Amino acid sequence: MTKHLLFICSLFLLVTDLAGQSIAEKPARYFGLTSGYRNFLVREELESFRNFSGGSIPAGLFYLREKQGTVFEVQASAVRAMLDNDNSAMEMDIFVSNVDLAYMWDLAVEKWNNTTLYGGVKLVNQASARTYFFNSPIGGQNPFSGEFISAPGAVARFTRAITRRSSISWKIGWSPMAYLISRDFHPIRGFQTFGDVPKGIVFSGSFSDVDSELNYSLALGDQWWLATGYRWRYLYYKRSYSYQLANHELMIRLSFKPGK
Amino acid sequence: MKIFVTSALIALTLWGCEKVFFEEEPKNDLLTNFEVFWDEVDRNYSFFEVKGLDWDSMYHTYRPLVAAAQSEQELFELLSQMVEALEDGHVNLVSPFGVSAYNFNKGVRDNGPYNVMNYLFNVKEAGNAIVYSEVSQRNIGYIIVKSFGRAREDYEQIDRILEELSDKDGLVIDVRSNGGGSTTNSQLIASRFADKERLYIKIKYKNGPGHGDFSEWYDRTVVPQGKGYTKPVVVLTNRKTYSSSEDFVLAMRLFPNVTVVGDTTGGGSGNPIFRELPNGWTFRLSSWIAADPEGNTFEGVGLAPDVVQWNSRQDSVELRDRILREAFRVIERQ
Repeated sequence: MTKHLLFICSLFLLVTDLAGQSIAEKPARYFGLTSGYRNFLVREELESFRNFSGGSIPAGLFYLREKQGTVFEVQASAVRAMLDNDNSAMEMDIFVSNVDLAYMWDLAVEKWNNTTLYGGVKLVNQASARTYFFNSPIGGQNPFSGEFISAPGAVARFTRAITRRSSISWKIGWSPMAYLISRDFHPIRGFQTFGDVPKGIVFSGSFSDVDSELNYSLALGDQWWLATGYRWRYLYYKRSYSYQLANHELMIRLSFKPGK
Repeated sequence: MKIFVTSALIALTLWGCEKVFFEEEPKNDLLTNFEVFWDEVDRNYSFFEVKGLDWDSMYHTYRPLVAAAQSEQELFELLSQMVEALEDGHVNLVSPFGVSAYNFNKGVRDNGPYNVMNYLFNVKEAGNAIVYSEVSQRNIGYIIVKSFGRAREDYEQIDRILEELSDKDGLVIDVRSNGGGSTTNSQLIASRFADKERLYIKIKYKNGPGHGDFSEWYDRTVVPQGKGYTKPVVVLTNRKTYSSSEDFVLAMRLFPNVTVVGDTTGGGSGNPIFRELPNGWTFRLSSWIAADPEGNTFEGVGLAPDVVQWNSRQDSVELRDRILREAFRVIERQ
C-alpha cells in the first residue's frame, strides 16, 4: 500500500515539475504566516454517536510561487482544540495538522471583469489524533483515535482584481479518494504497532474532502500583503465506521514577497 | 460592493450546511439507552466466548423489561443486572443513581493488609501510592503499593527506596487490595526485579464487532531496569489484587528470587475502555483478552500464589497478619 502513496506523491511532483519547466520567467514568491479561528464539528462512529463541536486558534505557514500562468501553493497548519457536546460527559481533544499542496494553471479563459480562473491539482496531507476524555469516578482507558490522509484532488480558483492593490478570490477543491491510514476497530491505545493499523486507498463513496475558501487580499506597500478569509471544509471517510469532520474557519494571513 | 455581497452570500450558503451530512444523535429515551448499551457491549466486550455468555439472550430477556420500565432508576437497575451477569470487575455503569459493579471478591475473606503497621517501624511514604518501612526485629524491608493508578513519578521513586532498603536480607512487596491502575506503572516496579527480559503476558484485542473478532496474540515482556534486585522477594496478594496489579504479579512470579504468598488474585484482565449512553451515563467494559506466557487466560479465575495463606477471623481480632508472617518465614528460610 505504501507503493500507492508513493505513486500519488510522485505523480503530483511530476506534474508540478513539468509545469515549472515550461515557464521561463522569474517567479514571484510569497511567504506567509496564517492564523484565525477554526470551528469544528466532528462525529466518529467508532468511538461515539455524539456530534462534538468547539473551536480553537490554528497556526500555519504559507508559501506561494507564481510564474506566468501558474501558481504553486503550500499551506501548512496545525490546531488543537477541545470539543464537547452539551449532553455528554465526554470531551474530545483533537489535534489536526496539514501540509496541503496545490498546483494551478491559468486556464486562459477570456478575462471577464478582471477575473482570472485557475484550475489544477491538489494534495491534502493530514495527520490527526483524537483522545476522548471521560469525567468518570472509575478508571479506564480513554479511547484514542486518529488517521493520516493523503488525498489528491482537483482545485479551481477564481481571482478578481478589485483595485490595483486588492483582490478577492474563491478557491474550491474536491478530493474524491485518499490514501488512508486509520484505525478500523481497535479501541486500544499504545498496543498497536504501525503494521496493525489498516492502510490503503479509499475511493469516492467511502471518502470525500470538499473545501471552499474565500479570500480578500490587500497589499500593504510593495512587499507585504494582508489577507482575510473564510474557509469551509467537510471531510468524510468510512471503513467499518464513518468519520466526519466539518470546519468553518475565519482566516488571517500576512504574506511577504521578498525582493523586487 | 457587488463582489463583497456575492462573497458574503457564498459564505452564508456554506455556513451550517454540513449539518445535512451529520446524522442526529440517538434519542434519550429508556429503550434507546438500552439499545445503545446492549450494542456497545455486544461489539466491544472481549470475554463473551471465554466466559460462554449468551448476550443475545440477555437482549431478549431485558428488552421487554426496559420497554415496561417507567423511570431512569428502573433502567439503571435493569442495566446493572446485565452488568452483574458479565461477572467482570472491569464492567461498571455510572449513573446519578450510583455505580453498578460486579463484586469479584464476593464471599471470599478479604485478607487485606489491615494489621501490617504492627510489624513495621521507620515507616515512610513515597508519593501517594507507595509506603515503605523496615520490619521490627527482622532484617527485612517492606513496601506496600496501594495503587498503580497514581502519577508515574510516584513509582519512579522505587530506585531510591530499594537503595534505602539495600542492607536488608529481603523484601516484602505487598499488593494486597491493590485494584490496579496503569500497567506502565506496575511494570516500572517489576522491571527493578527482573533478572533478564522475560515474556510475562500475551494480549489480543478486539479488531471487529463479532464476539470472536480478535487480533493475533501480542507478547509483552518485562525488561531489567535499575540496579537489579537479587535478594529474596515475597509478593503478597489477595482477592482484591486486580487488573494491572495482576500484571505486576504475572511478571514478578517469573523471577527466580520471587515467591508469591497469600490468596488467589481477583482475575481481572480486560483493560477497560469507556463508553457513553444517550442519557449521559458512562460505563466501561473489558476490551481485550490477556493470558499468561503459556496462553492461559485468568479472567474471572485469578493467579494462584506459590504459598496459599489466609488470615483467620481470630487474626483480625488479635490484629495479626498471618500472611505477612508467612512472608517473613519464606525470606528467612532462603
